[in-house]
Amino acid sequence: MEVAPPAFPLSEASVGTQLWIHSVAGNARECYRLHEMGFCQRAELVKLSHGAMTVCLVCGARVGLSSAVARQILVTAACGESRKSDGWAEADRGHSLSPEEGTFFCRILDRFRRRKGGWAG
Amino acid sequence: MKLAPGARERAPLTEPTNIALVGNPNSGKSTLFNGLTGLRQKVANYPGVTIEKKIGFFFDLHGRRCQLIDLPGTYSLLPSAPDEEITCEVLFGTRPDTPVPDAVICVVDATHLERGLYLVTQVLDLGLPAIVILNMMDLLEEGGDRLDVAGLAARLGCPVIPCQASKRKGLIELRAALSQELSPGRPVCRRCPAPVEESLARVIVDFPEERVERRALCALILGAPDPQRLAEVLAVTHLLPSLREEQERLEAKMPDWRQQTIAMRQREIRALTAEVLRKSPVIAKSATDWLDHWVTHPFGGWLIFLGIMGTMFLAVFEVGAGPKDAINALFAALAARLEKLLPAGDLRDLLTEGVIGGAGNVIVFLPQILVLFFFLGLLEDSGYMARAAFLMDKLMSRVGLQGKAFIPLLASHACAIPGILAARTLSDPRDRMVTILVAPFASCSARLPVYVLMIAAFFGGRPGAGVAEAGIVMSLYLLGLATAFGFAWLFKNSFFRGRPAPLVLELPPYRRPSLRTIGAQMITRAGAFLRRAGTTIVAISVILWWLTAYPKVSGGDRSAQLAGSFAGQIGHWIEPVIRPLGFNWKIGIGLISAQAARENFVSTIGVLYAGQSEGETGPTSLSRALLADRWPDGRPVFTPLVCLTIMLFFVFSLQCVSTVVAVRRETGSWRWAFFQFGYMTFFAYVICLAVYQAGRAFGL
Repeated sequence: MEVAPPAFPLSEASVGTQLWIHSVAGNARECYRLHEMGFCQRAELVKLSHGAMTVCLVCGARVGLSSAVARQILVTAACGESRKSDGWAEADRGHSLSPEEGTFFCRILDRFRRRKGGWAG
Repeated sequence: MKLAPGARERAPLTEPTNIALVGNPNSGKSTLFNGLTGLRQKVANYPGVTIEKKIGFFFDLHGRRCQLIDLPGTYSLLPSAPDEEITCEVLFGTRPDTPVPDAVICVVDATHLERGLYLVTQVLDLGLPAIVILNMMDLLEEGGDRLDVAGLAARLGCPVIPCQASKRKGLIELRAALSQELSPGRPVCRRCPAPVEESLARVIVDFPEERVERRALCALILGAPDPQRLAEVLAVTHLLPSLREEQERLEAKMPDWRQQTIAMRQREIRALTAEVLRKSPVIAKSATDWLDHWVTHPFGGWLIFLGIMGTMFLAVFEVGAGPKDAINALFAALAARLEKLLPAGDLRDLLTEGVIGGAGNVIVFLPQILVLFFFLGLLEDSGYMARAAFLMDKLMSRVGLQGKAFIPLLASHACAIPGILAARTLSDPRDRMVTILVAPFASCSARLPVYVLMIAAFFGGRPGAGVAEAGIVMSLYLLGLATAFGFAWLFKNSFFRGRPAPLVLELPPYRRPSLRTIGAQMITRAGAFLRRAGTTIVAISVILWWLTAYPKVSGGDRSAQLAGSFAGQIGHWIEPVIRPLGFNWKIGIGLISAQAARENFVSTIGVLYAGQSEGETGPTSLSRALLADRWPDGRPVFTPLVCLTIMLFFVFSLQCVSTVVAVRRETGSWRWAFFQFGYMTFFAYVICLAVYQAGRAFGL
């Protein structure tokens, strides 16, 4: 028997990952609009960025979500790809996703961490 | 346009054909509207620009007059905000001030086809003759995607026209299609999950039979989380008990029935999209992703925001100063010429002191106001506004508002009225009310002349302090925003308790701002400003001049005449109230006239101080005249502390009759309009009193 992949909040998904929507939490009114905007069960989305807002590609459109909404949307990793911890995932059906390049600040932070021997914060 | 048999209603030949323009927010409806009608409705690159219906006319290829109704954008026919309600009411034919549309033009952003088709399929379900416009086809093709337009038209059963509204491509084809016989399209998704179908069958029995689209309307109202409002719009409130009963039955039988119903439609649309759209095989990180990363960065995003604001205010002073001085010199030369041409008397004084001293002093600020509008236009057209909303979301959620409320606040920097109207895009009525109540704290362009005049007096008339001047103005703008946030927190924790609505916003791609669009908006704004200066401000200046010129005081100089005039008597009567703020009676008269419009403060001060600076006339002398004014004990009136207090008064107070009327219209009650006027004026008075008295205590 096939085991369903675990669901986790969209806010915790890695950037560049292709995902399936598992469910949307919240009151009926908020959920209805999210469903109409394409955040329906089994709908596909790609998380594009995470910062002051979470940007994802859903129904072919780029939608920005506040961090509270990103926590309300539960997703699962899409079949046929592996979720990576720090980069754009390789997807099926011929979609080749470019790897997430570290930003200028991230690169400086990484270099600093290496110098400090793996300092985390 | 002819309507085929089966169309909902046949238009009488003598009447214009009514065509509704609908689509998702930011899909290009208003651009298409402008292209067809030749009008200049505001367009910008963020969702929620059109917040009320606009009507224009054009002719089809047979020369028949068509009435085009541009409607606010919506994602579905189940409205979630007041602006979307307007669209739905027009499409349902239930809006009393708008005729039932004979046909619908559905505008779809071709790059977001799947999203756009959701609304299109709902419109087709209503049985209205429709034409689908695929806007921004150039962007779709640039991205390497290919769309089978003929295939899509065959599946939808209605004309589908590729278009690039910004370049007016596809408009002739649209006119040609409107000249043909139109029939209702083919409903794409009519099925619902079985339990929902059963409930629908029970509800539809009681639905008014005269509505041909009753099944679609029934499905909409059954799915609505709160069917009350929609039932009122459709005049089927008698159905509410049975609707609620069916909803409860469905909840028990199939807890996610709403989601399943929507998902069913979306699956159909996805299949249709997959059939007609060949996507480019590569999804790469675009420039938009890269920019989004920085623009919404928790630290870098704020630096960018403050950098943009700083540049804007610096440009207001550095770029706007030259043209301002040129206009100033022009008015001074005109005043000097009139003094030479006309004999001494009331007519000469009226023209030089009343008209030029009043309205002229306001018009000189036009270049600086236009620079401000240019920058706001850049922000609106580039796609930055939606990102700014997200940047602000964290801060605004702490005061109880959603980040989307920042868009009305930012729009209020041009004028509070469009900002108040833009609050219609907010879905939560409490958020909307709070946004309306605090929007006038955002410094509008009418405050700019007051700030510039007071800053000139603050620096003692010394020129060349551009960075410092820009810094002060920017601080005043930020102070206004901070106060708006503070009061929003207060209101959300008192009258309008509730957690903020979650922020979900479609992000438009960044675009190079169109100078043509921004230029057109600047011309419209300049026209409105000059019209106001030429009518209201001139009228008030002339009345004020008369109040300063009569009754005549025999044998007195200019100061004695002013003190003995009607204006002087009124001013001295109110002086005890404003004296604790450091204001003299002339400033008091300025504050009274500013209640009509804030610019009137400058024109009033211009009239009251006309000809008081060593015999000079014209606007050039105004800041020198202010600095020369003295209290009876010899102290200067316009000290830096008084200038600062005046600026603070203008930051916090509500001095605009039009805004009060707009608030009354939007809230539906004079009570809120007067409450807003009262609390803002009281707050401004208390702050100014505290600042002035504290400044005096410190010897300033």
